[in-house]
Amino acid sequence: MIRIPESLEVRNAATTFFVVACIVCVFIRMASVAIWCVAKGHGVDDTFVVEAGLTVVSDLILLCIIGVVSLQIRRPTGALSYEPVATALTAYSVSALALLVFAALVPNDLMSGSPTTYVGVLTSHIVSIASFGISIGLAGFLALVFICRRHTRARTYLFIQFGVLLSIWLCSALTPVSNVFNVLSWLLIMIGGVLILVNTRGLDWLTTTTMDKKVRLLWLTFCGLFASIVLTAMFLTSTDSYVTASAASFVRSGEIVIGSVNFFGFVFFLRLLFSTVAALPNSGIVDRRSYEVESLAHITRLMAEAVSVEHLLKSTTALALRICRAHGAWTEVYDGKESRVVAAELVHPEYVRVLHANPIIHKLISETTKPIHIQSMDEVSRDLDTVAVRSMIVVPIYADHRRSATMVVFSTVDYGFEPDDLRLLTAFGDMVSVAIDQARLMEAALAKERLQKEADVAREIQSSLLPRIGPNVEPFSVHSVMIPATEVGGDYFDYIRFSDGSRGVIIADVAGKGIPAALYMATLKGAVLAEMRVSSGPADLLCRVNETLMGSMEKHSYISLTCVQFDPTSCVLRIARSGHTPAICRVRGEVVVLQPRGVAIGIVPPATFNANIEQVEVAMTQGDVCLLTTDGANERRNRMGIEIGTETILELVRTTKVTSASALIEMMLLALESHAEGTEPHDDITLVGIVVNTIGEIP
Amino acid sequence: MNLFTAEVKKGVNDSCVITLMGYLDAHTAADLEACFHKAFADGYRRFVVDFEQLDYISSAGLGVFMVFIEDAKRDNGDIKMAAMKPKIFTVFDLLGFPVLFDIYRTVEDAQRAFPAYE
Repeated sequence: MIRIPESLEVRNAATTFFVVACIVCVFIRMASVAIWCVAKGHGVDDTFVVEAGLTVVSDLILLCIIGVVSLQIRRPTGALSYEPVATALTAYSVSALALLVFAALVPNDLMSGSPTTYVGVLTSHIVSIASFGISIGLAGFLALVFICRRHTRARTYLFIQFGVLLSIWLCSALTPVSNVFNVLSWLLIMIGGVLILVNTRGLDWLTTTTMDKKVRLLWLTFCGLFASIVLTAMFLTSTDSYVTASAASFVRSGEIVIGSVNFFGFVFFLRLLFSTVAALPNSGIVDRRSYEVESLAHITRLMAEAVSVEHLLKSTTALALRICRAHGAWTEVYDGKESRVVAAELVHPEYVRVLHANPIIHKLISETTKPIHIQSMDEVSRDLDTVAVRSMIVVPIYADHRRSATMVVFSTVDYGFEPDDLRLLTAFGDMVSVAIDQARLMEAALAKERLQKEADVAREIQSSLLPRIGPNVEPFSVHSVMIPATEVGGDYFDYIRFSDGSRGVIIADVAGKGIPAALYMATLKGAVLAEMRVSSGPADLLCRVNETLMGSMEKHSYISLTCVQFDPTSCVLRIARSGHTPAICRVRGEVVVLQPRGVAIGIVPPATFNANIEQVEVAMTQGDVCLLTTDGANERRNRMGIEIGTETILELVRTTKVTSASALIEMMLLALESHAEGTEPHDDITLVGIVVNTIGEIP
Repeated sequence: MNLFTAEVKKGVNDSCVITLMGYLDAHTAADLEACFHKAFADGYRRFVVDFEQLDYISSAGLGVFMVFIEDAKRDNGDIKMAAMKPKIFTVFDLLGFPVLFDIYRTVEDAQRAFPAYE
């Protein structure tokens, strides 16, 4: 089996070769015939050698045409469809008509099959080559129909058909020997016709072709049928017509082959015609079904592309209008009590308002809980005679368990819709509901993601506001840590420097959580940095910070804060507290809870605040410790929700043997985590540890 | 988790007694705020908050009292607190709230503490 090359370049090159060879052969044949018949006055079939030679050239020409046709006819992928069939039918009909017109216009100067003039040589060649060309094209098309009939034996049947055609030719050529061959050839033509009828079954593609295409195909088939019957009749029955004589002079008995092929074509067209006619009545339903499937697929695609809900409603409304062949359609969405027309097809939103002004229609549209089909407005009320809308389908759309939109499709005639339309529009409504829900969830997810990002940024800012390296205040060793909770909080610690250059540490907790707390914390840092330069000590700093922040804080918020000043020379800690968790100190083995008086920042005006603040001094010695915490520490809970409690922390401070602040903090964190049993902290945990170094100089 | 409820009823001496129960945190603070708003709208400026049955209070819960104390005091009223559990009192005490709010042992004491009108 010869394979037709896949590459386009190779195919085009081969086509060019065939065309050139064909033209050369045609010229050789025409020249030979002109010399032999016209100049010398012989007949084409006078001597066997000449006739054989001419036949060889003719066969070469035919081979070239077959080559071109088989190279250029594209095999459609899969089953046949409307387009290639229509193209083939058009080409066949038009060329057959052109051939007949041409043959009728040129003078018939063939004398028993041989041309007598030079013009006659040319015209007879044109007519015969055209006849063969058309037939070969038709044969190619029929071969295509065979192959496309998805059947395992399709190729075998094609060869059988081809064999029948060759046999017809052979029998016809042998007719002069015996009349039996003539009868046989006619018998074979009939057998070929039956084979064609059997082998071109399975015109399934017709059923799924749309109505308008079927009608067009019907007309084209008529044309093809007409052309094929004329050609068949001409080549098979009239032996003395110009076209028949030309074909016969080209190849002996060639007209029989042409006639047979056209007869096969005729049989196929007949079959096609009947199939088309048979498929016509259900076209409407097929069209509608295919359109339904297409539009549902279209909506699904829109949903997948996550287009806006409004866009989806517009597309759906337009589709609903087209499928139901309605005279107008709109979709209105409800935003609270407001209703808004988002998509209007062939109807002005203003007219929708006018319709809503009619209480009966308004009630109908806004109060239905399931899709309704009103066949005629007379069913609803006799008072609606003046309304242009005569029949309609109302589809309520629910999303998130509430009525969010309504799609209305109407017609200006009574009984404008079929029951099927209601079913389809209900499906549309369901899909839109899903899409709206999807869009809402998507939006919520995006919002959540954005919030999460904001919280992440807030947490980053929060931790970036905390100092990384402790102050060098020998003999004190100072170390601090802040463990952020899942949700950003408002804990804060910082190392500061007072107006006299002495060092200190503050620990603070802004009431509340989340971004507001983080913002207050940043504000607090600003206030502390600004005020520490002019503050003489902890209590003074707290008074100033309260004065600065009091006016700018919201009524319900406050900040608790403890400030410690280091006095390295006398090894004394000066502590002031404004509402904060008490400081826990171990001085000479005794644990003391230091809770000097002080109101949280942002609660009372400066006068009251200043009158209520107290500053205490703690004289420390080697090995003494002081621990500052936020309530996230003593309220650290375990799985049972039980807090670690102040008592446990006091006991830890009492018994610890640490020699540096970092070790103290590490010990504390370990204790907190072992209590928490792996639960997430519900609040920030901040610890500031102060330990008097053993290597320090003790006064 | 304990639910939170706040009951408002008329007390003696032209006061309004708000009884808190359960767990007052960031989620339930809004309920208490609504209570205060309503009492304010009803014309009350003398409030006694009964803490006897309150089990927990968070910073957000404390914030509610700070929102209303200023307005109450401006109109010669006050928010007085009564019958706190020790743990709740510790929270108030740490923050220095006693400077701002009068805290009494019983609701009756708190109601009596409002001065007579002139």
